[in-house]
Amino acid sequence: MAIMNFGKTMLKNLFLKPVTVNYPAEPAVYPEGSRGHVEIDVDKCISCTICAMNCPSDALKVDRQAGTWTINRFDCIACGYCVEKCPKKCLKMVPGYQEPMGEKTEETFRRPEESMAKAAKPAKPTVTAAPSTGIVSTHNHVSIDVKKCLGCGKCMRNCPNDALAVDRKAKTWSINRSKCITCGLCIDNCPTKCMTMDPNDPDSNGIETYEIELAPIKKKD
Amino acid sequence: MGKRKVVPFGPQHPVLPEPIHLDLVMEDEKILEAVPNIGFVHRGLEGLIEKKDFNELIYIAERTCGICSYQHGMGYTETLEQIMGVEIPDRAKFLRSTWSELGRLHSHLLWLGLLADGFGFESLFYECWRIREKILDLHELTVGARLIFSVNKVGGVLRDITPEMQKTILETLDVVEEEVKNIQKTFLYDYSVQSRLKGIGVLSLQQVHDLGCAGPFARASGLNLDMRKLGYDAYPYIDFEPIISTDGDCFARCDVRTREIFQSIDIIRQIFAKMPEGDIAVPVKGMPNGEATVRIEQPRGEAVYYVKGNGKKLLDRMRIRTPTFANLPGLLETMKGADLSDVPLLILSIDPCISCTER
Repeated sequence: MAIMNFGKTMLKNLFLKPVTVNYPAEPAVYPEGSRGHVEIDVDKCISCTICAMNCPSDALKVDRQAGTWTINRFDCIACGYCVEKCPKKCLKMVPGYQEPMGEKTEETFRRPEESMAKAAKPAKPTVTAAPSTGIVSTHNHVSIDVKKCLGCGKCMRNCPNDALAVDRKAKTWSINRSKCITCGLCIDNCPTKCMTMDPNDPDSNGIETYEIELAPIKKKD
Repeated sequence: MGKRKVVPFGPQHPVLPEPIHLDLVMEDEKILEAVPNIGFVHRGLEGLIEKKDFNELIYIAERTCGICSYQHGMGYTETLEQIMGVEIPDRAKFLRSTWSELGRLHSHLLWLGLLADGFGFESLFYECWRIREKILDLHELTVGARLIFSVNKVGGVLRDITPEMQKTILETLDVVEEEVKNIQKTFLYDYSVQSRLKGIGVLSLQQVHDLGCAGPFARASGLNLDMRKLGYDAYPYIDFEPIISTDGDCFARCDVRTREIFQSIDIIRQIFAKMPEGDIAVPVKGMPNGEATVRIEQPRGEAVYYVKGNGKKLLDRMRIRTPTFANLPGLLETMKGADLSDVPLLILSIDPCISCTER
């Protein structure tokens, strides 16, 4: 009969250890891929602001001038979208949840002076362009080797801020310096590596157009 | 003939996990009519489409509900994929179905626990939630979080389930199956539990059909309605039949859900046996332009997603019809003529998720 159905479980539980863990006195065990909190390798960061632009809960702030990356861990929902979007792969999710605190605080990471100095060029005033979207390219800029360019348009399609335009018919490659956030995604995706990151300031802050030679595409024999 | 009174029930009540308010029109101990009032946890999630781009919205859609969070994210993503004409890889389909079924397992175990708490069997409640903890650990192992999965993206999924993980999952499911068999005996054959559940809140097949109910609530009255049979994701390759009972009372609803736990375990085993190799995502270009509707089966029943895009980053409209919204008319019908002491059980028997309903 069904009367003693639960009795067995009850008796067993009398002699077993508690199922719960006395956290935080005993440490919790997390599996390898646990999404606890975001960590940044700030040496690799290029302050491209893609993480801050895409954060669903607006927990991230990036200051390009000061070279800082700020996170409000109490706003962060640990979704991992910034990690997925980061072009330099300097963000990662690591196990371990946010610890409790008395008040909501922000955590700020500053890029090392060397990486800032590499990018910045001394004493040249920033020119604000007229057709601007607010982002001003201040230090390094993308330059192109017009002889190598195939005009494939991969750079244009991968640009997160629509700063590039490639026209195969007119044989032009143009860049809107005021829109370019110097993230380097175009360089990473270029099949011929015809673009480089120039550590100097750009010549202008408007749209620069270059005539490309449309190098012939090599075919397999 | 007694005097009529109105007894307010909720939004705060020990048995209610989420806030709903009911005005119960009573005559002595019998309920004549129940008047619902919702709107305590409205968060305006559908309005956020005006501010966030459609990719970020996946993470917001998941937060519609804490329990069926995976299916909310998946339903929204699949609607976008339908608009953009994206065909996801087979392996991604099987992975999505795996997580759907794991979500169903933990949701049903949670509900069984709440039901046990509802009829006053606290140790059974703890037993259910102890088993559920194992499923949550599997979630953390495979996607990195216990409840909010965040593994969907337009064009596939972000994480893979490796063969080692599959082995761990299968081993855990063997243990879970044994333990659920044990508590199933208590739920279905215990004299006190039966006396609390049998014959309570009976709805006929015709009533369920006319009121448009969904999910296990409708299947307990004999309505053969399971959206998984529409054949989305990996379900066309899986051999299963919707679980149906004909009694239509609280006991039948409990019976259907316990048997669905075993069905989900069986489906996961079949998925792992048939899982194809290959990519887990395809690259996607462009913005959604057009509109689409997708119906999926959540643990609580059928959910409908409607998305309209205009070729830009921000969508025009998103609408979610959740299963609890469909089941509320059925709940009010069961209350007519019921005792006041059965009201908590009746509310629990539809597996209410008021946060889903109000979004």
